Amino acid sequence: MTHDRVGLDAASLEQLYVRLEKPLYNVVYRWLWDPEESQDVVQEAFVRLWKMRTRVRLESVEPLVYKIALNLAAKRRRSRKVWRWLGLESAPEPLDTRPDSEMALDAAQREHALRQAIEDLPEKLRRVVTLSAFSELSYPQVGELLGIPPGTVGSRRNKALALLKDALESGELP
Amino acid sequence: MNPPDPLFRELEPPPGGLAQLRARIEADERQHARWRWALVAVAILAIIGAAIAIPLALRQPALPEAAQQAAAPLPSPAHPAGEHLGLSTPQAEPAVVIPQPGRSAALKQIEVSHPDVVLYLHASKSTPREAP
Repeated sequence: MTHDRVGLDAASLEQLYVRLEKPLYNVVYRWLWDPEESQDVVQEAFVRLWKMRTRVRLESVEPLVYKIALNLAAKRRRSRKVWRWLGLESAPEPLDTRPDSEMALDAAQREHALRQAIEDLPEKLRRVVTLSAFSELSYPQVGELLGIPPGTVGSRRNKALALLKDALESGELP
Repeated sequence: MNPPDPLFRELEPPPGGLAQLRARIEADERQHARWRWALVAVAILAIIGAAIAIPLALRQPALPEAAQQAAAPLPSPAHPAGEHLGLSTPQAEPAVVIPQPGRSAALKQIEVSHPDVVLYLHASKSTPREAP
């Protein structure tokens, strides 16, 4: 990546999308738990980045995309809660209890338990743990993105992982 | 790069993401261009509307013809405007009676106390024919 340059062309945007699509999708998916909606948010983040392409500093474009995507995902979560409260959106689908094999059942139950544990995390911990687990951003970059010192990123990550492991080992899993 | 945590399983995004992104950006730019043209059209219409409306608003309202005639002062020297308004007294003039053919007429002014009133006594009778 070239540093200290401003402006993004179409080819650079596409290269960036190819590189960041998967990690960004994984981060956003842990907020929305819906494949289509997660992909939609990832693409919306890139459309917004394209709209501000003339002002984008290339050295900080990656944290910027993550920030846009996380804000979009958080906004959708909030509006989804409101719609659900109003009864205009159905609750998330329950776990499918008819997998093809026992191993698949275990994996599905574990995934479900992990999802519930991530959902139960406070938002500030969820932001840190999803970014540090899936993004290629360094602690200082995550810290800059979230407006916290790099040391706080590390401590919040450790705390979030401990909470997740506790939840998974608390007997809820087979 | 952060060490991957075994707690999380990496998922593959749905396929065709890049093609969808290209289509979205193109659609977004087309829509943006449409909005830009719509704004230009609205601005042009507003300028044309202002160019028509402002001169009309600045023009003096024209009075109807009857109102203009009523408002105009009476230019006749025989009837100065002040007379109609009661601001001046009509000139005293000797009254003249022109008798009809075959009749004689007489006119006599009668004295009255009001200075604005002139009263005449008028008499008329047929003229006796001369004997042949």
